[in-house]
Amino acid sequence: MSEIHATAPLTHPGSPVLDSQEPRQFTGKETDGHVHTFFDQDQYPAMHFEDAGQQKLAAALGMWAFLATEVLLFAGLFLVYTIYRNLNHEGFFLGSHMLDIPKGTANTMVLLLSSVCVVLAVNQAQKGNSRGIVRNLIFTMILGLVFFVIKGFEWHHDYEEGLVPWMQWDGDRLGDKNFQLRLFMVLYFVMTGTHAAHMIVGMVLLGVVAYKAHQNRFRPDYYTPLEMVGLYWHFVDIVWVFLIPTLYLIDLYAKTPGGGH
Amino acid sequence: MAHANDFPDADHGHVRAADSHHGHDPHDHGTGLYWIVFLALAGLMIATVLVSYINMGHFNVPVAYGIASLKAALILWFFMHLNRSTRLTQVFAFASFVWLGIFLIMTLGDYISRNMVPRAQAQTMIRKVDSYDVVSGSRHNKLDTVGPEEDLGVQERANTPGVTEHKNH
Repeated sequence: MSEIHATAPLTHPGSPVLDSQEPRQFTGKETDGHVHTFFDQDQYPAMHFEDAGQQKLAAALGMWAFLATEVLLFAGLFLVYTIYRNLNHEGFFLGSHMLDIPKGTANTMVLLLSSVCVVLAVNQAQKGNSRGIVRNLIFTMILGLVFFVIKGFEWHHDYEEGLVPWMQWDGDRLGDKNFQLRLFMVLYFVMTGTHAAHMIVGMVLLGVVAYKAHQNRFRPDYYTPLEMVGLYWHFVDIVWVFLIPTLYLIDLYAKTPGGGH
Repeated sequence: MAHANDFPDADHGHVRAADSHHGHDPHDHGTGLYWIVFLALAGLMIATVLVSYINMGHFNVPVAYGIASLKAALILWFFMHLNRSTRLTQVFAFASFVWLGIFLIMTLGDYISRNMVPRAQAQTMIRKVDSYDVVSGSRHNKLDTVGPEEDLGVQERANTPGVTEHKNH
């Protein structure tokens, strides 16, 4: 028996052999004596995985399944918007003309650029450059803050215009269509607010990952937390890409560029 | 980008890319591709804003969402690295849009078709409605005023004046 144990392969007999190397074991003690994986495990890959590839695949599949639920969360909001837009088209038409198109466009650009920064951070992780990861993640978070600043100006403008249904509402606008306009603004704030909440979560996660990168916890073959947070951030970006035409653009055809409200 | 097996490139691409820092590995992209994709996204963004000022009739909404879908596809494929993910990951990503499609198509199909009735049934209902005392020009559709469940016992109710009027308020 002892002979068999001594010569038996460490992996499961039916497991796919990815390469001829032994699974890499990171104890985390290489640099400063601390454990270096995301959940402070003792080893990478974690002991319940066959190898690093399986661990990474499991993380990716879990993240994509989570993103599928997020897709359905936002799909519900888009669906409510679509149905109410068809029932109250006049108010929604006028409501979308009261939004600030330049600020919305600028925010889209900011988010797209922030997505590039996340991708560059992942690229730096593949090259094993922790400082590059931190630098790009800080750029991403700064762009996230720029998004909130622009959004804040936009919401403040809505407040002064009496377009915030719960706080400051001009009930005399549009006469009997006031209800329709109010419905549009409610949906506008709920949809952009849900998106903004996701952005806050994303920025906190980016901060956590940047801190871990600062501690040199990532390696060219282990940066899964960074990649998963990146997926989340890109998803939030995609949501905004669909929010822009939905809220701002699809009723603009009656207006000319540069025209006032 | 064919993989020999369905496992992520952690073992195949990135490690080797890290071993050889000089870009010989096809997985070791420079950052140039990302900036090209960003320029494409920015161009599409400007295009969708400008196009939205043009009245294309029924194509306003499809064009806007078509451009948005193209942008989303670029982000998914290049930024979220589906281009070098495993097949299984790609299936997971695609599945979310299958659920999205089921959700949108079935719900909107319900809403769009609520005022629709099959032609034969509609003609029957119109004949019945016309034989009753229905106030014309009311805010309800004639077809909405008589549902199938209300067909029972209509002869008695039809003889009673004012029975159908409550439906029109």
